[in-house]
Amino acid sequence: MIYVHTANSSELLLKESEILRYAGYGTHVPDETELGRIQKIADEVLLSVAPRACCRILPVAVTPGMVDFGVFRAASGQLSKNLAGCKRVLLFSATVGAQVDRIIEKYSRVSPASAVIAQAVGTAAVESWCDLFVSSIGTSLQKEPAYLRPRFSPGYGDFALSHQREICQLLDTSRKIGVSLTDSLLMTPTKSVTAVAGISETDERCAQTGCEACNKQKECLYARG
Amino acid sequence: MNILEKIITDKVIFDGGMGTLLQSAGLPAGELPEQWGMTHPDKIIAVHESYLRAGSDVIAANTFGANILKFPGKAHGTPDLLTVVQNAVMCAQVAVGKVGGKKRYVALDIGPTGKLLKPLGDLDFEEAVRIFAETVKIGAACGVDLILIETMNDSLETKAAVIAAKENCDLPVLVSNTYDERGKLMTGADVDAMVAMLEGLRADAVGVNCGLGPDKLEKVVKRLTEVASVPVFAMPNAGLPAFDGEKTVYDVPPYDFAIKMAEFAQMGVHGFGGCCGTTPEYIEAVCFALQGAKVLPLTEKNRSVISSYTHSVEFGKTPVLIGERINPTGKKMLKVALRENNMDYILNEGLDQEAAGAHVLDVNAGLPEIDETKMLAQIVTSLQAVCDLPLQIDTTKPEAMEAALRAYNGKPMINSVCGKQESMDAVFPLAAKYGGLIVALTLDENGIPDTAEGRVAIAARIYEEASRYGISKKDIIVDPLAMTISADTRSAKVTLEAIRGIKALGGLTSLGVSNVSFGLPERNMVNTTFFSMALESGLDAAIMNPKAKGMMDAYFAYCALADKDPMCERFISYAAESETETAPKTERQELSKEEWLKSAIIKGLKDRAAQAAEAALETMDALSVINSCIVPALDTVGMGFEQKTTFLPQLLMSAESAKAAFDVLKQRMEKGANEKKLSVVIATVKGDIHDIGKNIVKVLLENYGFSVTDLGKDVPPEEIVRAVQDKNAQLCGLSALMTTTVPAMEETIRLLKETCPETKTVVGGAVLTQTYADAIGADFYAKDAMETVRYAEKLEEAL
Repeated sequence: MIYVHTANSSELLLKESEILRYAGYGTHVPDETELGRIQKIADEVLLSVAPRACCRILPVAVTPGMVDFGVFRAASGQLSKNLAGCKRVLLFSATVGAQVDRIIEKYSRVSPASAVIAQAVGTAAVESWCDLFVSSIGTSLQKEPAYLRPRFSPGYGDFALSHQREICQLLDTSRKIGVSLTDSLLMTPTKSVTAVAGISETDERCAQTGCEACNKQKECLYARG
Repeated sequence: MNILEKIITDKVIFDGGMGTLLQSAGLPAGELPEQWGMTHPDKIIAVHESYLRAGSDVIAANTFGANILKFPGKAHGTPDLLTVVQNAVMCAQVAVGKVGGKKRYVALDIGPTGKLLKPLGDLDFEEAVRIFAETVKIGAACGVDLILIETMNDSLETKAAVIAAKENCDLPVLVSNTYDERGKLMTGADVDAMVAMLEGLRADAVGVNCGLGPDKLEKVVKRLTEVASVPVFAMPNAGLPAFDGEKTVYDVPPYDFAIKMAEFAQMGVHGFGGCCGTTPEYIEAVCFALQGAKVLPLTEKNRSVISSYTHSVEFGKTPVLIGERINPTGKKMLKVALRENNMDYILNEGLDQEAAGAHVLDVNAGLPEIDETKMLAQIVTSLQAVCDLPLQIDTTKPEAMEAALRAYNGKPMINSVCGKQESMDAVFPLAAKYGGLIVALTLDENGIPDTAEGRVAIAARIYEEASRYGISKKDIIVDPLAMTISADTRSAKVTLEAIRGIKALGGLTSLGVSNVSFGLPERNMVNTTFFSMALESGLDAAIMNPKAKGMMDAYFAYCALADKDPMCERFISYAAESETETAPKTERQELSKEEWLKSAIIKGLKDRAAQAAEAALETMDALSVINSCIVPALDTVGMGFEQKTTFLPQLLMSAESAKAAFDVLKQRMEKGANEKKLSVVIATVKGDIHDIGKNIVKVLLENYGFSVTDLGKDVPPEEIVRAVQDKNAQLCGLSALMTTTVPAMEETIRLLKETCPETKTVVGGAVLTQTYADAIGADFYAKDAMETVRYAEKLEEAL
C-alpha cells in the first residue's frame, strides 16, 4: 500500500539560519534591510508551497555493502551501515510542489539575488517538510514499538543516484505526488526528495546523521560547519 | 445510443479501481499492469467482468500506462505497444461479450506519461502529443467506444493528450483530472481554468478522479457542475490512505461512498465511478444508491472565460485590462530585444505589467525581419514559465497563430479576426480546434464603416459565420475600433455608440483605447477620459498600458463608482499602493554624487543606484561614471566576495544595482563604447534544468562589460557549438549541477575542441571539481562566478 500525506505550508517550520546557509551566507547574519528582503521572498515562496509525500514500508535484507529491497538491490556500504540491523525500511518521496520552481524561474529572469534566496527557501521548505513527515511516521511507528533511523537519499555517499528511478516507480510518485524524473535523473519539481529510512525494533541512535554520515562532506557546498 | 448521447441525457456508471484488484489477483509489486496483462488475460477479463456485473456501463481497458515510453518495443526488451493495447482492449471486449445484457462501452484508458512537461520538466509538448497519438491510433483501430483521458495532474499534459485524441480519431473524448485538497492540479490549475481549456479543446465531458475520496472532492465536483456546460463525471478514491501505524485501509466504505455519489447526482453530475481503492462492491453500492435517480438536465453556462495554467479570467463582470506592451509597434527597445532574441527583456516587460495590475497580456512578435512563427511560440512558452496571467495571442499570420495556440497552456485570447471572409476562413478553424476568446474587429472588405450601425452589422455577420464552426457568441469579443478624433471629431462618439449596439446584441466588447488620441498633444488626458466614457458605455475589456497611471486611476475609480468594487476594497488598496516612495534626500545631501552611486552599488540598492546614476550624469559623462564609480564599487564587492566578507546574495544585489546604473548610462553612450572585445557564450548543458548558477555568471560578466550570449538551460552540444561559431566567441562557459549531466558537458567540450579549437572553455556547477574539470578537458574550472570573471579578464588582456 502506498500512503499519501499532505500538509499546509503553515505547518512547516523554516529556520532562518538554514535559509541563510543555503543562500550562501554561511554563518554570517545580514543586516535588517537585507533580512527584510529575504523575509519578503520567503513569504512569497511559502505561500506557494503544496507539501505532499508518499511512502511505503518494505521488508529489507541488509548485508555489509548490499541492501536488498526485494524489488531492487543497492550496492552501498554507507547505506548498509545506516540500515544495519533493520528488517524493514520506510521508502518515501516528498515535494513542496511546482509553483516554487516557477517563482525561482521568475526571479532568475529579473533578479539573480532574489533567485538565490527563493531557491534557498525552497530547499529549506522541502527539508523541513521531510523532517515533519518522517517524524509523524516515526510517531506512528512507536506504537508497535519500532524506531526510525535517519533518512538517507540516493546520491548521498555511495548510494547511487540511479536508484531514484526504482524508488519513484515503486512509490508511483508521478501519480501520487506529481514528482517525476527527467532523463538525467533530476527530480521535477526540483524541490523534491526521495529517501529511505531504516525501521529498527530497538531504539538505538544511529552513530552518524546528516552531513557527518556522507563522504562528500568536504566537497559539498552546503555541508554544515 | 453512443456514449456521448447517453452521458448528455442519462447517468453513466464507470468502473472502479484496477490496481488493487490486480494486486490481489497476483500482480507483483514493481511490475507494469499492462505487461502482466499480456500473460494473464484471464485475470484482466475477470476484473472487467466483475465491474460489468456490478453495473458499470463503461469499463476502461487496461491501457492506463500503455505508451511508447514504457513499451518502446522488442529492441528495448519490452512488448510492442501495439500488442499491449490490442491485448488490453480485447480483454475488455471479451468481458463485455461474456456478460451481455444492456449496452456497454469500452474505453481506451489514457493516463499520464509519468514525465513532467517543459518548462517545469524535460518532456517536450509535441513529443507528448506524439506519445499519446500512438496509443490513440492503436486503440481506435481496436474498436474502442471512447477515449478516457484520466488522472492527469498537469494542464499542459492534459492538453497534449486531448489534441492527440482529437487529431487521431473521431471518438468521444472524456477528460478527467486529479485535484488536491486546495482544489488544484499539482501544477497549479484550478477547476475554472481546466474547464475553460477543456471546453475550448472540445472535450466531450470533464471530470475528476483519483487523489481524494468523495468527501474531500465535494467542492471540486460542485464547482465543475457550476462552470461546465458539458457533462461532468466523478471517479473518486475510496478515501485517502495515510499511514498511522496500524494496517490502514482506505477510509471511505462503499455505503458512504455511494451516498456521496448520490449527492453528486443532485449537483448535476452525470457520470459516476471510482478510482484507487474502489472495488465492484463500491460500484454496486453506487448503482443501488442511484437507482431510479434522474440526472439534472445539462445547462449552457454561457461563461466567457480564458485561462492560464493556474486560473481563469471571466469577461462580462468586471472590465478586464489587457497589457499592450509586448508589441513592437512604436517600441524601439522591444524591437531590439526581438531581433537579439533577448527573452529577459520581454519577460520583464510582462512581469512589470503584471505588477502594474494587468489581467491579461497581449503578445505580438510581428517584425518583418524575424521568424514570427517561431518567436511568438517561444515568447508564449517563456512567459508561461514565469507569469501566470492568461495571454492574448496577437498576430496576422495564421501559421504563427496556430503554433502559439498549440504551445499555450490554457485557453487564450485570439487577436484577431475581422469581417473579411479570408480572415474568418483562417481564424475560425484554429479557434474551433484549440479554443480561445476571439477578438473580432468591425471591418470588412469595404473597410471600417463610419457609422455605429455599420460596425454592429459586421459584428452580427461575424457571429453568424462563427456559429458555423460551433463557436458561440460567448467566445467572441468585438472591438468596434477606436479611431482618432484628430481626423474626425465624431469618431469617438461612433465607437461608443457601437459599443452600446453590440452590448444590445448580447455581445462583449474590447477596445484599443489609446488610438483615439493619435496626433493630439497630451494624449493621456484624452485617453483616460475616453476610457471612462467607454467603460460607462459597457466596455468589457481594454487593450492598454497598465503602467500609465492615468489609465489605472480611471479604471479603479470607475469600478468603485459603477458598483463593481465591493466596499471599494480594490480602489482603496490601489490608492495606498500608488503613494510613491520619496527619495532619500538626507543620504543624498551627505554624499558626493560619486560616493552616492558607489555606496548604492555596494549596498545593493537597485532603485537608488539608478537615481544616483542619473544624478552623476549631471556633472560627468557616462564613461567617467563607469570608470570612477561603478568599476571601483564592483571591485570592492568582488574583492569582498573573494575574501569571504561579502556573500553571494550581496554580491548579486550589487551586480543588479550596477546593472540598473548601466541601463541609465547606456542611453547616453554610443553603442559598444564600454564593451570589451571578448565575446562569451554561456549555457547549462543538455539534460540539466538548473540555471541559477549560470544566470549569476551572466549578470557578473555583463557588469564587467563583457558581451554575453546566454543560450539558457538544457542546451544540446551542437547548439552551443553553432552559437560559438556564430558569435565568434573566444570563451564558452558551461554549467552542470548533477553528475548525470557531466557527460553532456564533456561531449560539448569535445565538439568545441574539434570545431572551434581557439575557443576556451570554462566550467562550473555544484558537482564539478578541478579534477573533474581536468578529466573532461575543460580549459578552466571556476569555483564561483567571480573566478569566471577573473578568467575572462585574463583572456581579454591577452587579446
